[in-house]
Amino acid sequence: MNLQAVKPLLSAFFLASLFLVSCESEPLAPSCTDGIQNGTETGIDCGGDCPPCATTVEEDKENIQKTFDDMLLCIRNIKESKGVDVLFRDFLKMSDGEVFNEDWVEDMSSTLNEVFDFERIEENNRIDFAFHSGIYTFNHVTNLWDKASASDRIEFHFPSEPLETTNDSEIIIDAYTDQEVVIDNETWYLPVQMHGLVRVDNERIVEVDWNNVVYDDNADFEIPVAWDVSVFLTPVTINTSLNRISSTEFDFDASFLDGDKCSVAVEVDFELLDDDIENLSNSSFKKVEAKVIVGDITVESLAGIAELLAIDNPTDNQINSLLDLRVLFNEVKIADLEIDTELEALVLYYKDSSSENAESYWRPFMEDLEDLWDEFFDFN
Amino acid sequence: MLIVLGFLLSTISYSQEGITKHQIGLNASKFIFFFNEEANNLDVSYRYSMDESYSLRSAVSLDYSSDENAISDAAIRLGLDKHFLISNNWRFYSGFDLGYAQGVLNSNDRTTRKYSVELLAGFMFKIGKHFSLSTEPSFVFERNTIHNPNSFNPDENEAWTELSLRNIGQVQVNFHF
Repeated sequence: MNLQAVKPLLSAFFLASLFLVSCESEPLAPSCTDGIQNGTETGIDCGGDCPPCATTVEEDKENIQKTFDDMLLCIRNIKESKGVDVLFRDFLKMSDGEVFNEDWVEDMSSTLNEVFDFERIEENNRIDFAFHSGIYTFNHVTNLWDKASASDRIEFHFPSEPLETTNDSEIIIDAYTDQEVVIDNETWYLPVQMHGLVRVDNERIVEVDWNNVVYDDNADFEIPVAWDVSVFLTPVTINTSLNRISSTEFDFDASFLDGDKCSVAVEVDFELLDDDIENLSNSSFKKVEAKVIVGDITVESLAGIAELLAIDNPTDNQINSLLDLRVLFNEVKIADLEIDTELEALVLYYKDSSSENAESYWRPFMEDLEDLWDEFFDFN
Repeated sequence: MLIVLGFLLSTISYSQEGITKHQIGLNASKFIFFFNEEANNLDVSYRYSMDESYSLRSAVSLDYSSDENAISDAAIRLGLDKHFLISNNWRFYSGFDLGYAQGVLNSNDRTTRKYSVELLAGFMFKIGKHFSLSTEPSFVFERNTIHNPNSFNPDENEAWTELSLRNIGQVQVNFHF
């Protein structure tokens, strides 16, 4: 066959194949540059997995206000939780700043001392877990505590309020390991690992998980230089950790989460001028970087904190010249925070050069907070 | 303690045997932990004695870091002082310095500049021919400016003035040659 004769046929076949292949292939995956809102984007080619969408100053103000509103809802949820109900209303019976069950709580504590031996802890600077292990039960007939020793953990069973006729509350410490440390030439035994919980009506109210605590044994004042502590306080979980990166560098992280409105994180990375932790002072810091993240809003100063700490009574101008306080929304700067030396107030400067007193956000928040807890603490 | 005392006494007996022209001073807080460090006390100083009474003074500090969130500082001071002999070991001196300092925050190029005039009164204790300790409290007039090209504050290029007493309790260790 003449090759020249079939050449047009082959070309046509090749082009048709290409057309068919392109028609049968999957639609193009969403990208951050396709000019349409698709995938996880919240705007055209922005938000979700793409770079954050640009916001207007009005939206920035709304987002800051929403963050304060969410924080208030978070704290309202805590106040209405079973933990607060049991502790403040039932157990302590707090109202208008007074503890009405104070005598009852003191009586229970002093009678517990007869079987638990708190003095032994004070004398030895140690919780001797093996010695104290046992089940301590409040006896409603004698109003005393009974101890059953056959237990490898410490359990307290007691009523949640004076009129309660059953032991509906329990505190359980089921794991405890300590370590000998020296503080000011005195020997102490401090926990390196612990697990405990509080239950009321079989519902978990508090749980503490204390792990990986490391004490600095390089001085005669041993302080924890690393830890990993988780506290569940219904309905929030508070995690804190301190990691020693080197002899002078530390990372501290804390979070406050309930899976709903409560979302607060604190991150502080710091470096000391030397490893003389025993003589730690305000001028011991070489570098401090701090972030507070509440929901989508971050307030941070990644510079100037160490220099500011070293100054006694810094002026407002010194604070402004050293700190780099910024407010971010989804990691994009939306405002600078500075002290206005004439107003003597913390002021937010937005990207359109407008400004407003930060007090306009936190003052109503603090007032709402006081109203919320006024039932117990009598702020007004 | 006895060794240090002996050293001091023996060196004092040799003091004032000759006049030295040059003096290099180091900020004691850099290497003796119980002296608190003050930013105004520069790290290294050099003094040139023109005659028995007058000296030209200079001092510098440098703290550079390439860390994104660090503030890199540099400072220089130039001045003149006059010495008054109180005893073989003690001297009083007074004078002035003109200073310039600059700090740059690496992450956003925020630049702080300080222009200063200092009136100082110092005491020096000579320990032998080559060593001395000195302290020089000063009255400082300082003009500060900030330039932050990335700030949202339209008045960010601010300037302010400070008047203050500084270097109280700051000690310098000097070498004379």
